[in-house]
Amino acid sequence: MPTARFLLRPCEQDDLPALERFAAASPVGITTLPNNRAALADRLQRSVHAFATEDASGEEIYLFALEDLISGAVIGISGIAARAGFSDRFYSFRNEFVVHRSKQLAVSTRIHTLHLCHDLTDVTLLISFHIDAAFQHSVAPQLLSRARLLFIAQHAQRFSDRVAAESAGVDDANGHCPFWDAVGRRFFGMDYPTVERLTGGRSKSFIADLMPPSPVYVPLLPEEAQWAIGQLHPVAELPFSILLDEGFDTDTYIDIFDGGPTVQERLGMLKTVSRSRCLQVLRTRDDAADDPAAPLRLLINGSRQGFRATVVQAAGDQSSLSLDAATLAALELEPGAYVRASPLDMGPAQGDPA
Amino acid sequence: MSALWQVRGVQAADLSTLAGWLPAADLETLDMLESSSDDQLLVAERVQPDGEGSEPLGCIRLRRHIGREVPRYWYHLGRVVHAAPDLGLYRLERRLLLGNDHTGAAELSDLVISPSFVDGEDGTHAALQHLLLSAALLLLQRDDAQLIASERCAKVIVALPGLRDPSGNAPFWEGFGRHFYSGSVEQAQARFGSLWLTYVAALLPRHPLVVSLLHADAQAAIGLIDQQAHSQRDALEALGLRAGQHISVHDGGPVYEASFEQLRHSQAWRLLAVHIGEVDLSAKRCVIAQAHGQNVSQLPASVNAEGALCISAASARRMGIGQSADAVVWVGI
Repeated sequence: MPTARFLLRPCEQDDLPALERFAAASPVGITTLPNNRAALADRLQRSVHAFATEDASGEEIYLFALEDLISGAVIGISGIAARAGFSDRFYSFRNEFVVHRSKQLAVSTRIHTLHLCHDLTDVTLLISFHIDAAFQHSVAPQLLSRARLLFIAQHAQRFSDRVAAESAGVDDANGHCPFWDAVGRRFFGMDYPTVERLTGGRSKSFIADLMPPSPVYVPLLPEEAQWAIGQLHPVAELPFSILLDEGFDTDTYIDIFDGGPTVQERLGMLKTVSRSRCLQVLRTRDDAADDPAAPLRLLINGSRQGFRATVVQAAGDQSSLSLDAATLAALELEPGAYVRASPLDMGPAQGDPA
Repeated sequence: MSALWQVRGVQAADLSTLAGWLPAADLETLDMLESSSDDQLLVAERVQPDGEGSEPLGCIRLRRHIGREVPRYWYHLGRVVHAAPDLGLYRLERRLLLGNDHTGAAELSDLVISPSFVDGEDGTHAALQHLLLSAALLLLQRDDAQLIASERCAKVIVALPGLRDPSGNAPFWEGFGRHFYSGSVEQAQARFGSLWLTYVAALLPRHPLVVSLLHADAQAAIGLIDQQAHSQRDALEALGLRAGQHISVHDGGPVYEASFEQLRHSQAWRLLAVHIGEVDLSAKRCVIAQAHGQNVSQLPASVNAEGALCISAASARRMGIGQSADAVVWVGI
């Protein structure tokens, strides 16, 4: 795969139909992409502004579009919220274990508890990961997810040094969420979609404020709800597997509504970021043969508003790498410019859609 | 008419009978010889025509300053409101918090009526329970009055048995405590007596618990009294105690309580001089204790115009009360 097949770039106004398509396919709970044209247009406008502004406050949301350079179609989107819970609190349940011991009864028990917390307030949040099913087994989702981390690293002053991501939890065929039914519903007397409609897009912290601040003792929950803690909705399995590979901590936090895992980690500890280097790009000769041994690399240019990222097989050394003309053009770079590059542990065969 | 029943401190000869009623561990800790102990077991007996007592008909335990040496635990049942007025959401939640709130109180417990006792001419289960509770409260108040303020118990509590299902299991425990201690309650009770509650509390949640997160059966059992304890509840309410804001950590049964101040107002607990003379046998029965000791009698008596308690010569003789003008008794009328 010597030439870039996929390109990640900032969302533009023209991407609204693609956003609508992905929002319509979103399960309940993916509220960062509301299934509403006006709300999506507003979200898109916020993103365009976020990439453009020199005066970042932390309130920004950055949306990225993934293009198939062959068809020109947008096949995926992803995003970054600069600061989780900006201007409000960001709630999570923190998994804790307490050991109770009775010497006289000769019993020691390890009790799983969930503590409502604001630990992840102000961390940078990875949001809105969606990809066309046809490309799920290609390199495209790797680019769609991991390039965000390089963007954060490249523009670190706009973000937290800690990154988190929520993953959708399990529900049944009717949209009933066992964790919500056992915990949230007790305090609201209504199902989760109803609560979402009632809150009218307000901060989720608004709901959390109504929940008891004391810990939830997991053994007291119905078995179905206990089992749902930290479990994934099928649509979340692919993006979660990428986050897992990055080295995110997956055990500490869960979503307060559906019990899905909320991962978090220091940015510098993540695989793509820790292995990234700034390299000078050289142009390969037009008649140069492909090097099948060249490593697969995730590349981003250094621009914010003109952000571009792709994945290619590219030979190089400690200070430079060689790209063909088409890849340089896709990244909007001239020979001699610098890219942030990180190796990607995938075989070249995975570069094509399934 | 002489007293049909009287209450006294437990004696060694009673232990074989009581062993069938109470866990052995609870009897082992008893100091029978020290009537001023903070832990006393009283027994009720039938008064024979010759003035002698009988086999125990029932018993009650009286403890003072509970939890001072070994912690005692109860769940406080409180309320918390979660409201979002602009969404029209309002939830009033019950909340349980494990604590030692009644530490230092006096406690009546182990109220048992002999399985062989049958309601008859000389009284009923309910009347016998009432006598035992009255006698214990009388002794508590008498002794409390003789203590300096700092040594007094502020209140008295009685934990009533919580709801049981037809199998004898407590739904509150099955839906709640069982998740934190899966061992046999019966074996723990048999081995440790009432102390098992202290030992199992170490395994129970220390943070506040929202009741609506508990199993529905456990929620429903909170504060409910087992059918078999309804007569005990009635007696306690007649004596001025009421359900407070605490429940048992085992079965969710309510803890009845009253301050000594409340008891003094609700019952005519008084210190009276004694007048020996003719007594109307139809007069109201009173529980009577002397200034010292653990004996409490129940007999017809009345208060004369001078404010003295009139009892018959036979009653006075059996109680060891002479004609001296300074004889005084504590009376619950």
